Amino acid sequence: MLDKNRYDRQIKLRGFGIEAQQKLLSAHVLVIGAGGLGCPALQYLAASGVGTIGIADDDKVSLSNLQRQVLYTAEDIGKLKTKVACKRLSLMNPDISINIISEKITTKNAVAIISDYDLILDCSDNFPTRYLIDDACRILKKTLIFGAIYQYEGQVAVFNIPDKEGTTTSYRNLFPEPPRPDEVSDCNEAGVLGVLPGIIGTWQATEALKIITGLGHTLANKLMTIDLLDNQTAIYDIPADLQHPNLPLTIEDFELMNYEEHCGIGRTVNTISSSEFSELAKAPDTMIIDVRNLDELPKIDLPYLAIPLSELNGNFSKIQHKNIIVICQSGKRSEIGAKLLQENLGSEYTISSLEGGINQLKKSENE
Amino acid sequence: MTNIKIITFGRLKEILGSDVELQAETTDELLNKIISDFPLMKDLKLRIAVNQKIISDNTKLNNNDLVALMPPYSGG
Repeated sequence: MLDKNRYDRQIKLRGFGIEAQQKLLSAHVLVIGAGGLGCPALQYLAASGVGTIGIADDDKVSLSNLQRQVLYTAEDIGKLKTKVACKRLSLMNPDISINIISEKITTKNAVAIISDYDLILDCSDNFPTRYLIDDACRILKKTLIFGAIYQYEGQVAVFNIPDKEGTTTSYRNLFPEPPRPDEVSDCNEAGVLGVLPGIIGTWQATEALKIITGLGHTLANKLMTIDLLDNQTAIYDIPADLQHPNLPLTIEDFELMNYEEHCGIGRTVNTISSSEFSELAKAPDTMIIDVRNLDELPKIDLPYLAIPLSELNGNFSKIQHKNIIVICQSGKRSEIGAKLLQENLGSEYTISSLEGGINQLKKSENE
Repeated sequence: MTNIKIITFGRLKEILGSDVELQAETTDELLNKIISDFPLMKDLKLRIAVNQKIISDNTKLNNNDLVALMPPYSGG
């Protein structure tokens, strides 16, 4: 069954042997995302003889992928990444079985997909998918090997493996809540050095091989950072406390989540311009909420409710009107405030943010 | 005085620069100083580590402590 010649160089390793090779053969590893991180991870997992590999991705190969996604060639442009990857990996190692899942991972299919595997690699490229995978793996108690990149820097961590005290951590222990969509750029916007996902994806594969074979020490409950420009690496302890008020704790809760919305995507805040403001402010059942700090000037001449943005969260009960216009100095805090209200008040409320804030309002009054 | 060396990652490096030194007795004080100099930092989700241990609460700092400010990355 096991081809000793193919795996000779690792079977020879001190501490490895046939036994470790056999463990790899029996392992089921799922790689979510067959892009920059997924390509190198898949190549080394397949080459080292992981017996069953799942590849989940709904994307097709494009020209701008080829700078770093080393499984694909110019001939593959337009083809499904899962299909091309499966073909290449099977040519490299025909002894293993590869399952492809060519659809987007969602709350509806995640539990069924993940349940078939012992170990999951998060090689995805967006926060909704990352939080979805993390919540699913925590609930299902599946080992998750996390990797993420930004320009010249990478992060690797291993989640849901208990340490000696039985403590486990997940991505939520590290970043309890997703950042706002405008906070962190992805590779499309910020660019990425091609070798970076090569290094980080290969590190994820290394952790997978160590966990399966029991060799060495893993990054469980630790975050490793790598900065290529300065050749700096560091390992940080992840705290055990999970600080998030409404995490999905069961499969049922998880399936009700909307991760796009959870990450602030897909639902935008309605904005009104300074020219529309005075008219809309007079509409029936309307309240203006000023989310600036109490000492900020100038104030507006219309009735308003003053709740600083930092206190908005605990003061939803003060809001008695159905039409709400959130204002601040420049329109930035009011947008965040309006989003917060949208997330917490029911759909019967109409919430908008004053674009350009009071600055713009005063400017147009003077024109 | 308590001198603190700060290392930054991701976008924080663009905002703050890569090697920053500040004087602060606690992590809260440090963060407040940073936010007053760089208001952009106020609304960013980040994790703070003191000497490679990620902290959740305000933490006392000692001279020459190394504080890391880390944002999440999404790229893959």
